[in-house]
Amino acid sequence: MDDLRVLLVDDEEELVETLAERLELRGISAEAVTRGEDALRLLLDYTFDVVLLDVKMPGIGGLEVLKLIRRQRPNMQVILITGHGSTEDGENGLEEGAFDYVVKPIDIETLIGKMKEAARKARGLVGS
Amino acid sequence: MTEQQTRVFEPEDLVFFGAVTASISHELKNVSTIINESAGLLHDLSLGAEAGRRALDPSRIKKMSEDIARNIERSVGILNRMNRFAHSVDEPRRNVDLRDLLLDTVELARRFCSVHGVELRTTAPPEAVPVATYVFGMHRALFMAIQATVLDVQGVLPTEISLSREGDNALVRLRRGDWVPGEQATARRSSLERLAAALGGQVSWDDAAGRPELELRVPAA
Repeated sequence: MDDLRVLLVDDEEELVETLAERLELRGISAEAVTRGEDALRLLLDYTFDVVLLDVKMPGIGGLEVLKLIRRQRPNMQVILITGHGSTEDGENGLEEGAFDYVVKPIDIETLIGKMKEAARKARGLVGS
Repeated sequence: MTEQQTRVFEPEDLVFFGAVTASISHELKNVSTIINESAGLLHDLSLGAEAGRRALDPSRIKKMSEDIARNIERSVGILNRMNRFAHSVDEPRRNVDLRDLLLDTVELARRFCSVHGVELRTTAPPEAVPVATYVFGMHRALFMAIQATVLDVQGVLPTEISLSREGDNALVRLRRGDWVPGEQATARRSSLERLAAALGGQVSWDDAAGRPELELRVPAA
């Protein structure tokens, strides 16, 4: 898939910056922010195929950001990141309209696979 | 279980223990994820250099190895705190420096507060503030006091925590400029008062307009 654009949102700055660099090395355009508020602000002006969103963050939490994105940008797909041993947060996110979720620590190839699937859905290419 | 522990033990103790353990495991998961990504990036860059796509930049390698070392140090700090917390139930009464106990509690509460958008600022005297106490109970009392200043508030001001010695007592004072004790703080009030009493101390709430504060006073050793 060409020109995949993703937004990474996690309050661990080192994590999102490193992950963004790894994605860039694989030809994926990645922006990184550390707060849900910053993500929402960025989404007013820019479009991404996929938002990778941490569930537990200071300020507006991931599930709240997810709801706002689903309402304002229904085509944009969200993949949640959860740090919990259980998958409860991820399952809650699916009920709120997340495309999928990944559990920390992240396997980058699995993540990219999910991102590409999500991007196909965002671009209306599913089943084509 | 000893008499002192029985007196202090409440079902909420397990809830508190669970909340702290969950917070610690979350922190450790974050640290291991950062180390995983840094190691992954090093691997990616090495593969790129091996394939002749790009040269390895020594300054990047140095920075990444420093990032990994810093996060390992961070994880050791978390594990040390977790170990001290786990041992806090060992003895019904132990002599401790309340400064250390307070700083550990503040670190244990930091993520909880951060999720609620509240920063914690702590000041403590340069000299030790010794207390003889049930350490787990004191952790819980301090944690509850911090929670009380965080749960009802939507504002942006930090919670200021100061420790001092006043005569025969150690005094922990919590202030927050935009704190109006509400439903959740009130719900914790009787539990905190009971816990403080079991620890031989007392808690007082000054709800006066202007700058509300909560004081926890325990006998110094």
